Amino acid sequence: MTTVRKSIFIFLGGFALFLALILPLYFFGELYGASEFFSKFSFLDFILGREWSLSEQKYGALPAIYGTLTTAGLALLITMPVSIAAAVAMTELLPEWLSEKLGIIVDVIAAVPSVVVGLWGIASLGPFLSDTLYKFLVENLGFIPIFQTTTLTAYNKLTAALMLGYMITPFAVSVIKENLRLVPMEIKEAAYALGLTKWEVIRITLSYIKPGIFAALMLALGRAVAEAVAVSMVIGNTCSFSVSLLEPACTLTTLIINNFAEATGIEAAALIGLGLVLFVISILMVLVSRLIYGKLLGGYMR
Amino acid sequence: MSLKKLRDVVYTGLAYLSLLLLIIPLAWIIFECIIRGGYYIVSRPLEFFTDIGRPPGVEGGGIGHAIQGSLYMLGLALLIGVPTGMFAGIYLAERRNSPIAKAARFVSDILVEFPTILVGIVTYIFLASKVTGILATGPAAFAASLALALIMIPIVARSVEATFLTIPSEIREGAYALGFSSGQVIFRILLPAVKAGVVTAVLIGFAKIIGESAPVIVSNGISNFWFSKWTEPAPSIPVLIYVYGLSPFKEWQTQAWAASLFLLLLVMGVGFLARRLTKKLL
Amino acid sequence: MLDNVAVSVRDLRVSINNKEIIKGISIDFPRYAVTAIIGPSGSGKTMLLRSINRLVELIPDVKVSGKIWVRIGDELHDAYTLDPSYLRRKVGYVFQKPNPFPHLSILKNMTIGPMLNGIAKGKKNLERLAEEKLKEAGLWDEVKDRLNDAAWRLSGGQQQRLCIARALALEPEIILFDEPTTGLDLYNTKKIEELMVRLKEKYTVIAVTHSVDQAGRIADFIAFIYNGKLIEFGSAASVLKSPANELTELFITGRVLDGVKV
Repeated sequence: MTTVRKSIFIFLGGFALFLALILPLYFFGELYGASEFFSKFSFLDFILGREWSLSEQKYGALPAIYGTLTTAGLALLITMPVSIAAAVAMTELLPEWLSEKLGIIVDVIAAVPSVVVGLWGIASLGPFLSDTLYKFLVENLGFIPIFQTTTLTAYNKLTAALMLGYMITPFAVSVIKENLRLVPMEIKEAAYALGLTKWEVIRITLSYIKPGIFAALMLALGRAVAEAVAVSMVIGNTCSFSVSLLEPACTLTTLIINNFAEATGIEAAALIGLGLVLFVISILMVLVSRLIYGKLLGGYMR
Repeated sequence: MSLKKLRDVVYTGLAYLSLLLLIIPLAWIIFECIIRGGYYIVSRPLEFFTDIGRPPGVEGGGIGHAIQGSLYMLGLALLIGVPTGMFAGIYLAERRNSPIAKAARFVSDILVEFPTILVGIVTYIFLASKVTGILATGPAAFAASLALALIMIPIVARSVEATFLTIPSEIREGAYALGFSSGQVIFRILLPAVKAGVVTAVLIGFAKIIGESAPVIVSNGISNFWFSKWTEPAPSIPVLIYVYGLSPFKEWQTQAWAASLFLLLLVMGVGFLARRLTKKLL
Repeated sequence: MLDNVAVSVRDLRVSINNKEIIKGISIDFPRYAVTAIIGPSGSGKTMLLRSINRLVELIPDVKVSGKIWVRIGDELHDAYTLDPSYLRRKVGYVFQKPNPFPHLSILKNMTIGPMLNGIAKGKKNLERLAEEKLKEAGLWDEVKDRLNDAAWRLSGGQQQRLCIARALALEPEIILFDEPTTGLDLYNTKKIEELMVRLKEKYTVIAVTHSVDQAGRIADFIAFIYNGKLIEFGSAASVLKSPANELTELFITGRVLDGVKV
């Protein structure tokens, strides 16, 4: 009898063990796939290399890392105010029923496949922005380096960042909303009792969940870094170190998505090396986010 | 005083503005899909859903091959992903504090946020790659299916776990008190009790992989023909949108929008079902 | 109206979801005195208290009718026509459960109210105010070396005294206490009771308590509330020694608890 009882958990445990092993498996797979590359090129040259050119056999990851960090960082800057404001509006300002309906819309936005967002970016958003906002920026603020460009195109870092910002916002909104709901009523009452206005109370509430917001934004940034297809459709796919937001760029994921299917040999291995960099960045973000949240749960939110 | 009031009004206005910033692009996307693609579907529905794509510049054609390819790919992914995720999830709930459960939970939380493109790369490296892969087929549909399965497993596992944890412990204890074995308790008593929750978990995982394109592109490559073999590249709806959307051909672009509309409705439908089921549960 | 009235309540009725919780209460709270509101739980004591500084309005679907006059300076003002923020600044509130802002430092807890309300400006002035009020609340010696610690690290009793100090920092005229010693140890209970008595020199104190003994220790006046109505109101000595109403007597002798005769 006891053996029967145990055997079912051995069966189920096998699947759980497999689940636990997926991540090490991924890491090993990436290392294995990139090994051919790293046996011929030094890791330092790869990570600090300033040029990526498959035809010239130059494999420097730096432009892609630069492109990833700038577009994802810019997307984060866009998301930050919008997601916090939207979460506040939904939990603190709007009536319950309306907030619920909006919650469904937020879920729908999160569910839109990235390739559909990319199609919208390439065919609608990009051309629209270049006719309006970008034209304005170049003509009026063109003296600022970040808005300088020789040929104005619809496909550049700013388009990618705006689109990415939109893609990661619903996720950030949901998490911040959850955090706001966890704020005890006593905290708000205490603030009201001090004669504070609604927005001053909201300010205290937001400071109460600050670590939660930070954790949410960290995960959102991770998603921006990980996004591949949509970015590749609008970023212009030309590696450069330009500071201008209106110049095209490449990222870790766009280099992979654009070249992996046709790449062989050392090229494929180099692309997998980019994947390894992406792997490390992603894991770091999740871990930092968890660390912050864990600290929060160990502190005053106990 | 009035300065304070003015500030509060401005803040409130900005908060509502942020909601508009959320809603407008979604409305815009849906609008474009309908305007640019809706007509194509309505004018030739049969051709659109059943026919294969035409070469560039030739009018007509459909996404039948991509639907077929997606069905095959998603089917195999579900076949692998659902039981694996479900069994792992049950273990997480029923053996909460075992070291394996703790490790699996930790890993799942990372995997849920993991770049999906890397999953495709890994299945390609281990299985499909002509150099490092065990099967050495080159880009192939089964590698993409496996990647999609791997993407959904942690999501299904965590949702199933959450569902099982809602079962009151009295039911569990009551069942054991009747002398049932663990297997009987889990599969005859507990699983039926949370049927709807498990279906929701599967739907959530499924919704995540329907629209995936990056892992498919890197492991399966690109194909615009009917699905033929698991060891060959197969077409799929998201990848078709990617290829057609990037192409300079008007006919292909129109069909990319039409396919987007279809995919969007599919994803929203699955989400709607999941929400309905969750509501029923509460 | 009389100069010695701090809060005057006339025919106050409060209902939540159309259920009447306070059913027509009229009472005058004397200035510079401690008035204890006693009564079984669920009798509406807390709701009466929350009506005075309009915290009651945070409850959804609440309806308030009647009048409440609050003395600010030399004049009585209609509480429900004042700006609620202004009213709450003048009428401080200490909650049943200590609720400092746990994530903010002790100092910040003290300064955030005065800062946002524009009572004191500049770091120096704010810190001086914080020190003064912490001293007034008898907490200064315990926290002066750890002002930058987060407030959640304080003990429950210290947190409650911080909340009192925080209320004092707004320089209110009236302070409302809602069973402030619930769940605290004897030491902190005693300290807070002494504090409430001391505060009446500068402020008007109105305190809800379910403990008749505590009312006896701190109060100059006692109001007995039962089932949303004011049953008896008078000097502490007279209410406790010779209650006019039978219900009051039953309650103070411990024979009515939570609205049920025992």
